[in-house]
Amino acid sequence: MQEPAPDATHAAADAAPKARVAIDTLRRLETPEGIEILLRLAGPVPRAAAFSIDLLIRVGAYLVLLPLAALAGVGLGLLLLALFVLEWLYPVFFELRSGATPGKRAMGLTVVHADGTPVGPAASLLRNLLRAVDFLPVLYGVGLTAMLVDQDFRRLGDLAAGTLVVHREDAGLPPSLPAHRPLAPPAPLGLEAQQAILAFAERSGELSAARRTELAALSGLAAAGDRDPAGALLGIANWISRGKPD
Amino acid sequence: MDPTRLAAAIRPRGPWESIDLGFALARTWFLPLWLCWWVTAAPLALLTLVLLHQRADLWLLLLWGCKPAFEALPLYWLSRALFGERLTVAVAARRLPQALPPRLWPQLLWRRIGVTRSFSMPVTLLEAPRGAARAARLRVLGTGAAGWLTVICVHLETVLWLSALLLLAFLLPEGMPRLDLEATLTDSGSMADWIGGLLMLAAVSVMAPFYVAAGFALYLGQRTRLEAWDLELAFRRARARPGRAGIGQAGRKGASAGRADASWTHPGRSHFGRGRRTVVAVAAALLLAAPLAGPLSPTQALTREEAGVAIDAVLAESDFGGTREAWTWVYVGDTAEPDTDGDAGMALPDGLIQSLASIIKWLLLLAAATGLGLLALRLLPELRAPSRTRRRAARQRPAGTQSRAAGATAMLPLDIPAEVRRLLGAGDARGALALLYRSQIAQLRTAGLDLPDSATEAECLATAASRARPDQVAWLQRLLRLWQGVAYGHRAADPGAMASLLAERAILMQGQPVQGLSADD
Repeated sequence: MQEPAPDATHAAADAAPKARVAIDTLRRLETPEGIEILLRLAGPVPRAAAFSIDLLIRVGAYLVLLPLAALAGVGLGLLLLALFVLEWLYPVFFELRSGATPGKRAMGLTVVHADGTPVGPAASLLRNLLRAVDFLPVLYGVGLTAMLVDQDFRRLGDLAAGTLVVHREDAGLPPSLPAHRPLAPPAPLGLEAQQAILAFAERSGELSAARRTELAALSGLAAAGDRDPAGALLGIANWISRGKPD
Repeated sequence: MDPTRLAAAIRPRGPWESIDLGFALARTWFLPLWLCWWVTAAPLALLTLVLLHQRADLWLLLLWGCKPAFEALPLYWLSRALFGERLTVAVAARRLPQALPPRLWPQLLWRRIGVTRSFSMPVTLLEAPRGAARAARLRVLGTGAAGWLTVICVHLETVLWLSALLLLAFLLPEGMPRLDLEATLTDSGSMADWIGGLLMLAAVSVMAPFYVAAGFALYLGQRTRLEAWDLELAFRRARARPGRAGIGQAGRKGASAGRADASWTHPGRSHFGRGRRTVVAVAAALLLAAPLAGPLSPTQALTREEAGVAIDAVLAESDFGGTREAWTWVYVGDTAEPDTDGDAGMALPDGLIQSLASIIKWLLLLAAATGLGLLALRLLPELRAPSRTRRRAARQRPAGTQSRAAGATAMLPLDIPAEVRRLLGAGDARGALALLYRSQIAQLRTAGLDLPDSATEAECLATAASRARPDQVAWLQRLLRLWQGVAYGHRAADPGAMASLLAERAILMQGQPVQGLSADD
């Protein structure tokens, strides 16, 4: 044994207070089944963009409804009702329907409870009613300040309702490795090194050939005289993911 | 630059997510970043205030024009802090000449108009390309989010400024002079104008760290997406940390040793056998289970006892063994559903069921009667047999083992030497020795020595040695050696030795009977 292996949980518990936690926008949740859910929090900039899109949509709706004002008393009443409904219930309606207003959807955002479940009527209504507070003193000054200060980019409405605005997970294709003859790594690899090699293989399609070669040479895993270090790394990735060829 | 101490989680992110990471960075390090911004901004603001004390709007315009110069130091600080080097503001201020872009004027003049400033600033400062190379680099890295970032941040600045201004106006007490909001925009040089200007500067300074950090994070995100910069760091990290979790040994010699870069492997461990290699691999796998937080120093290794205590502590937690499952039957009412479709098809006429049941009942009764009859037939001879003799035999059996000493002596012949000689004459040396041994054991027991049935020859000898006379013990020893040789070694007993044993036994019995032992008690 080169090093006695300490109990993993204890090493984690001991190291946790001392270790620097990398600054990140991820929130990790663990379900009772032990499945880890990652929420990618959305900050003020994408949310402001989403708000602007929603604002444009609402303004468009007002413009469409504006001719009602020509109907004098009744028309004005209807217009005011529409204003009320659009201002207060537009976000609630869309959040309950699909978890995001059209602006948020365009920005790839969605509203969820703090535990990652889809937002419910109570939380949605609460967070949108509290927009009135976040709007103070003008143009969401309080809300912006809260978002800048809060760890999870929450405005006051989110804090009260226990909700988060997160980047939506797009259900893309599962990552696949480029096929290559599996190659045994020259030395046993650490977890991080293995993950890096797998990520390299998965993302190698997005990298230029020169950069692939450069990275593979940097890894130091390809043989010194190998003319295709990137290929060797792909082989090691196939080895890691599928094991030895039969 | 120490790539092993990255303070932020770098992974492939979309542009908007990268901007969010920048905001998270700026929130974490707001104070140093904000102070770094003021390091450059405050002197310039004070100097120009002297010149432009008449015109707040011109003063603000000048400061707005110099924003790229103010943002250089926060960016420099951030790029160091990302790799774990936290400079104090004083140190950072001394490094201002390094932090400023090599050619500042383009930044302040024609490039000031561009909307991707915070994104192109890291490229300019950290990669320092010039001319066409810079343009090409920005074209490759560029993303639309960079422009939107600037636009949105300008609006956020405005929101902060207006909010602060209105808050001030709303919250001013009754007696104090009102803050004329209109004058902040129109009446140049008035009190309200200056208050508005100062609040604007404050809002700009608050947003600046976020803007700089977001641009920097966007730059990192683009490099990660296009160049897999995070993988480069991961590879470097893996190379820089030999011997850390999971980096095992190469185990290859000779020509193939060159294949493994030394830094991926454990130094000085290249001559392991296959079994040892397996152990190392298992150890590596165990170490992999430990999270990557913090290097595992040898001092953290637990001893067996410490590990046992730690494991017990973990097992004592409520996560382990705290739950119990109990099953009980609870009456939930009659759930039988009468006359369902399936039953209707299977239903038999009532009369048939009755007759079937009675047939089965009679069959069972018949079987029981037959069984009883067979049992009686089986038991009758036993009952008829004379029971008295059996009972007597049963009573006699325990009497045979009642007393070990009495039993042993009872089975011995009265004249032992004669019997021994008879056996010897018959050629049964084994039987003769066994008889001698048995008689000796019986004598020892009679003398009060506690010799269990399971005692071996050596135990008998040891027990006897503690209590009997030396010549007796010597005799017993010789007997035992002969007996063991015959019984276990299958060696023929020496007749002379047998004869001398018998003769000495006679002397021992005459001189001092073994019973004399009990006198010691």
